[in-house]
Amino acid sequence: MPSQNGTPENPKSKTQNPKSVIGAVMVVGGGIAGIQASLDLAESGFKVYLVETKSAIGGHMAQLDKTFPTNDCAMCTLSPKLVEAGRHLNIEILTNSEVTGVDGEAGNFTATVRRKPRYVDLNRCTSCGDCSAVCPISLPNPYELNMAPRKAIDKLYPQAIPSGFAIEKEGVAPCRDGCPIGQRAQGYIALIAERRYEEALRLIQKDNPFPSVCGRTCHHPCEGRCNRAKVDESVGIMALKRFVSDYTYTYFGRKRVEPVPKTRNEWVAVVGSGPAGLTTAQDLVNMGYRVTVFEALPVAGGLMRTGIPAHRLPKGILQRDIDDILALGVDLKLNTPVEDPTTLLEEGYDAVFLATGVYEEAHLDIEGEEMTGVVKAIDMLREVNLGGTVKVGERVAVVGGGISAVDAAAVSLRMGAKEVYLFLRRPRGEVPAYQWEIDEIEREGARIMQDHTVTCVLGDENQKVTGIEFAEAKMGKGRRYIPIEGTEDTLKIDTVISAVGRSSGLSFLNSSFQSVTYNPKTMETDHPGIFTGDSKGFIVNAIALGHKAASTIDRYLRKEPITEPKKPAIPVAKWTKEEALARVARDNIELKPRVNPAMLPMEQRVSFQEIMAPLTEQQALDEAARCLQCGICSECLACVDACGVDAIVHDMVEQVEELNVGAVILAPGYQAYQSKLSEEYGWGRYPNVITSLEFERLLSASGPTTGHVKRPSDSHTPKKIAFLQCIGSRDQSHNYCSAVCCMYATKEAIMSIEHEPDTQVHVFMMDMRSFSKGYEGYYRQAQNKYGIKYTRCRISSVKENPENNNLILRYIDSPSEEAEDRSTVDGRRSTVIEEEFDMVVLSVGMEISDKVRELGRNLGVELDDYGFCHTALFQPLQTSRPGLYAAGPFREPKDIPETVVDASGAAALAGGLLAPERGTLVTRKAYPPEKDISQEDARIAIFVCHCGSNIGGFLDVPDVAEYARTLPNVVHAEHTLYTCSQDSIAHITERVKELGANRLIVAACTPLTHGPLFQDSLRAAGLNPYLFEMANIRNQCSWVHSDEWDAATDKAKELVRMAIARAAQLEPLHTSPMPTEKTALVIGGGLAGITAALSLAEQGFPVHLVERNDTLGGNLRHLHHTILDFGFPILDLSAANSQSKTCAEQRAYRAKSRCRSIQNLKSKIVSPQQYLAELEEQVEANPLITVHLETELARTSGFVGNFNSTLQSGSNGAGQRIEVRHGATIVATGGVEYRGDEYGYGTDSRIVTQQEFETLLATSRGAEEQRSRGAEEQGSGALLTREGERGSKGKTESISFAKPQSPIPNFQSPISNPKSKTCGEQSRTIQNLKSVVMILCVGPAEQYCARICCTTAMKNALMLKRLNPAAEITVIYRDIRTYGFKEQLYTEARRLGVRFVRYDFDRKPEVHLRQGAGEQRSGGANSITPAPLPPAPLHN
Amino acid sequence: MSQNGDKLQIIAFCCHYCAYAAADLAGGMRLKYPPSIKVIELPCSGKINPVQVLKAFEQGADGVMVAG
Repeated sequence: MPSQNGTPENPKSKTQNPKSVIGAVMVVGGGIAGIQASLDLAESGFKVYLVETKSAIGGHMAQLDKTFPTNDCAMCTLSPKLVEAGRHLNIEILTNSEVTGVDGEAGNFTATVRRKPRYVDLNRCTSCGDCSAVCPISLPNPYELNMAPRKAIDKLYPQAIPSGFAIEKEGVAPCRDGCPIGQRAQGYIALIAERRYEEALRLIQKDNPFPSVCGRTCHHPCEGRCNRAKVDESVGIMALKRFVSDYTYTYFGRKRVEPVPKTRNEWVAVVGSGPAGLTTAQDLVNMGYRVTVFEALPVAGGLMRTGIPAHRLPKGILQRDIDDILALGVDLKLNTPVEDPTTLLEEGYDAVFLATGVYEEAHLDIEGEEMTGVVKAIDMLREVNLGGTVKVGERVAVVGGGISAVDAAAVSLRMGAKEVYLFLRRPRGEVPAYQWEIDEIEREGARIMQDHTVTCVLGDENQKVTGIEFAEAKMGKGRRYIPIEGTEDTLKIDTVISAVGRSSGLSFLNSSFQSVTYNPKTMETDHPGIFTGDSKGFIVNAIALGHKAASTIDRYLRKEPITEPKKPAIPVAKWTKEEALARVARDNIELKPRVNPAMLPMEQRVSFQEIMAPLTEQQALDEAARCLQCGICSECLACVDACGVDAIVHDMVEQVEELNVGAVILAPGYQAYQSKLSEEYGWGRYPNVITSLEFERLLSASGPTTGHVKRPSDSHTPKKIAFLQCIGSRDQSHNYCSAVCCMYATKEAIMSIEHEPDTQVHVFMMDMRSFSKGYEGYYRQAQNKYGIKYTRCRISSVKENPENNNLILRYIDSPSEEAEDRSTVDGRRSTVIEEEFDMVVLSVGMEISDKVRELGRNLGVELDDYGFCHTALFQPLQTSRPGLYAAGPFREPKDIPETVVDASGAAALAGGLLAPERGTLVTRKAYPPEKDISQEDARIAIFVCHCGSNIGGFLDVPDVAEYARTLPNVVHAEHTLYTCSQDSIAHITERVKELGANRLIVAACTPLTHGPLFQDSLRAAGLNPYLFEMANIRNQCSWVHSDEWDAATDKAKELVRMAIARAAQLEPLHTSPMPTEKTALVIGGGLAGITAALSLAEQGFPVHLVERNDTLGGNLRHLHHTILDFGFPILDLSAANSQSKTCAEQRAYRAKSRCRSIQNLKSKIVSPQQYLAELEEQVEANPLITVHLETELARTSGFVGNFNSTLQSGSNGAGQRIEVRHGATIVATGGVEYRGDEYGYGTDSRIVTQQEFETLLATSRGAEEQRSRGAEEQGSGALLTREGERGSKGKTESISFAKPQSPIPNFQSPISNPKSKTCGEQSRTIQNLKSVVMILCVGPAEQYCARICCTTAMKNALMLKRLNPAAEITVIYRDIRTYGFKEQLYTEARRLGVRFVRYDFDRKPEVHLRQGAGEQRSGGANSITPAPLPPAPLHN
Repeated sequence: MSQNGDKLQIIAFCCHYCAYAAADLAGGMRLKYPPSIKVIELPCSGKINPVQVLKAFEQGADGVMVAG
């Protein structure tokens, strides 16, 4: 089978080894192109992986309000396709995914897909939205162009497919990452910001049993990691934590803690009631174990109790946290020292955790340390904290820079010391205690001796301290501080308190434990069953140790492997300073320092009253608002609590998947031009300057303003709207036309008037490009019916009237005789006008995003300078890499209809490539045989859904179910929380079977999305799927009557009653398969017909190709040069490669892509005629294609899948008649160039059509080399007209057609009929042309755009300039419609000096032929050409 | 017939593909209308038979809407 796409890597070779071809296709991009291609392929028997970077498919089309030119609702057109793609068994949608590479060859690729976590299990999510309702994180909504908020857990848009929710999370917030126990600080801060304090406290308590303690005394590594510190100051996380616990306990009271039932038989002993011990006890009790805590002291709390003085941590506060742990059912034994833990095992405990803390104070290591009056801080603080009294002298020296030293100093002051010296070996900013703590103790009266070290304790003969010797300190070797010799001094001191660090130890245990060792990873000691660890003295580390001990002991008791299971590595949202600043800018965050809590006045700091006040509520809210929400999702777990089906999985991680596919279709789409780059238009600065996409959302009934167009500045309805065209198109940096903006602007203009009839709309454009079917009529309707004003003027800048935020535009109006202020445009007088508008809409063009460029690079397909995918002229869907196809705006800007055509074309090519493997990877669902219920009475089972709270929260669901049970024929009625969850679906099937029910009713949401799901459960129960009815009690009841509980309940009952009445009447419906004739009939043997026939044959289907003429080729026969001839980089691959800027880049792509094919194509296809010859050859060689030349379709009958047609060969019905059977028909009857008598055509040989002129140019070009430079003949001028294409005779067209004419009617022009002249003569003719005028939009093109005339004119003008650079060319046009990349030809023509003169239909050009010598003049009724063209004698 | 607009019984015959979907969207957007309005889904608004409209009136409807 010959190859249609002409690539060397074609299935022909592959089919010999079927296993090397994979019957699956990857479609990249879930917009309308991707969806269409996927549906085409899946329907024709291929497995499809549809890869989308967002959380749902739909693309830009899902954002559109309407589509032009029919004003159809975009979503109504798209949504059925979304649902179909979502439910198709052979389409696997991979959302939040990116393709990072494709290896292999056409037919057999391995695609690597990076699947980012969605954090929601789509198999479970029922899309009820309860999660989103409780999410505290509000984000700008990109679907609404940031004009509305969204939640961190949300759907991309209401109709999104897959319909499940998704969480937007950049990773773990750095505060959480920095916390040893992973406190979800961003989470509780987000909840505080929403004043949800109780939830915030509950969230803290999930990881931390000591919120009140840690809110006061934590060393808060979280704050050290806070990204906000990079822009101003870290968020006061600790103070917020304290606020939450204080506020909640004060205003909501303490929640009664219920004991946890003991579900395990094992006993665990915990030695020590500090933070680690109590945390372990709490965790184990929560797991159901029986736990006893042994404490040597008379009070619980460990160092939290004995090490922290009450002015920092009031004892009652600590006891509150401890009591809550004990209340869970922890057995606490006070005053019970444990000397030998092994005895506990003997006593029957199954495991022991030694949580004995860090009690061993390090030595000062100086002379005199043993003297009376030298005390250890830990001993002193314990004594004070246990209520004892400590005698300190009047003059106290505290040695150490940690918090214990500060505490010891503070306690000394409160115990009556007159002078307290705090010796810090380092500068005060570098010691472990926080700067503010040092500042506070200084304010309380202590003297800070920074950079000093005590070198010796001085004493009297009784070994009682009398003073100290100290010296300045400096850093010595190994970062140790040493005294500087010669700086020694002495101080009179009564008491020396050492606070130079502590370590943990087991010295108080039985001597056999003195040298016990343990494994820090598994916490196991030498004694099986006894565990211990080291917390480094920080409370939060001790809590972390406690959690670890509990899970270790749990694993030990369950006899599971003792090592901690590896946790997935979740990325951390750690930012650089620039990233932090960007976030501040994005969210408009004001830079400001943190809000610090109030401190106790100095005069009150004599007792142990707490010195730091809690934040006030307002302070807390202000401080919470400073959080930058680094992770986006705050992991507050509110969604987890709200989800009734456990669908939320916060620790999902990115997966990299490899998928085996045979072909790849790239449809990644476009991005709208970033209008902020065009600063002159003020987008982003002037609130009422918006982009066309933003305007689209304002028009949409589901948009941020529910379809009422409102000005962003004041929410007023704009009365005067201006559209500025070509923003990001047809400019210095975009040498292309975005092809859709003229039409969507017209559509938006029409819609804004439809919404508000008195709106005035003014569109400022360069040319109107309404080039496609129905577009010209739409444009005229916009002007005539809606009064939309179009002015040809490119606006250079927008100014704002600061008083009312109106926008001021200066423009040149259409020519007017009356106006006074005049300037010259096109040689005529025009007026400069300044006008104020309420709103300005920027019609932004299409660009390729950086992400998509990266995709192209990764996949090794060549891109052009603008990032669009390189495709060859005659293989517009084939990328530079065989087996990879491109569709939609990725290859050239285009509208939705053309994108859909692309998509189906690309699907056909992929289908052709993989034809041998069709149907090998598809899934079909098997159902049990259908039960006959014809003899049964109706037995109805009804399920009433709560939909979480969506229905159940607004009406009485159980009451509705109860009511249903009383109605006739109902055999079962129940209410379920989520009827569509997987288990409920299975439950429905089971219940229907058990009850022998023969009708099913689900009273829930809408049948549009959920009907097929429930019908499936019915089929699984062996019943016909049409014995099903839905009562829409959500979308059409609970949601719209949410304020009326009773009325909503009554209506739901009524809807259910209606459904039951109908269900009883239902009968099974059967769909029966119809055999189809797998043959196609293609009418028309032009390029379209040939291409269709070859593609069908490639896909394995026989084709009848019918052509009326005696050869194939149609209009292609008349084409001689293409835009490739002018070396445009976008279209000519070899020229692109020679561009210096991208040269290296292009080479890199090519090396990567092994793109032999393009070189191959390039060498093969140099001219249209060569291409045609190749196609004819392929058609002839293809056994599946039967060509019927000189044949017409006489009659056709039948229906889809089964047609019968009669083909009549020969002229006038003289030949034979053939009957063909076919399942599908492709009408490709083409069009012919119009040749009417306008502008004197037919009266003078110099008036020719573009097609005729092209032939002339081609002949001349061919003869160029042989051309003799003989005597010049008379100069000649030519006037060319370019006409619209007309449809040829065909029964399917709605317009009437003339019989095709002979190529040139009525007369033979020597200039237009090359056969009548020798090549040399033709060549001379072209060489001698001095001036040529081209008139565009002739004949039918006055009514509709013929799409190709402008481009053909450019092409011929450029060719003429090449052959005869001196020729003066004038193009008389209405609008230049060189859409897409064709714009480059227009640019080039202007560059080469082709003149362009505009006309309107009310002032059409006229052609005058001079008598005799045949002078001709071209000019409009109003003399639109500035000067008559030079006289041009007739050639003959 | 009731004087109270909220009590007027309105029957809306809606095309499955457009008007019914629009009624769903109205719910999705939490718009409000009186509970006495009831939507009946049709495969197409062209499926409606004038008899059905008359029957709705006969059975007490105050208004009938066909939307598609």
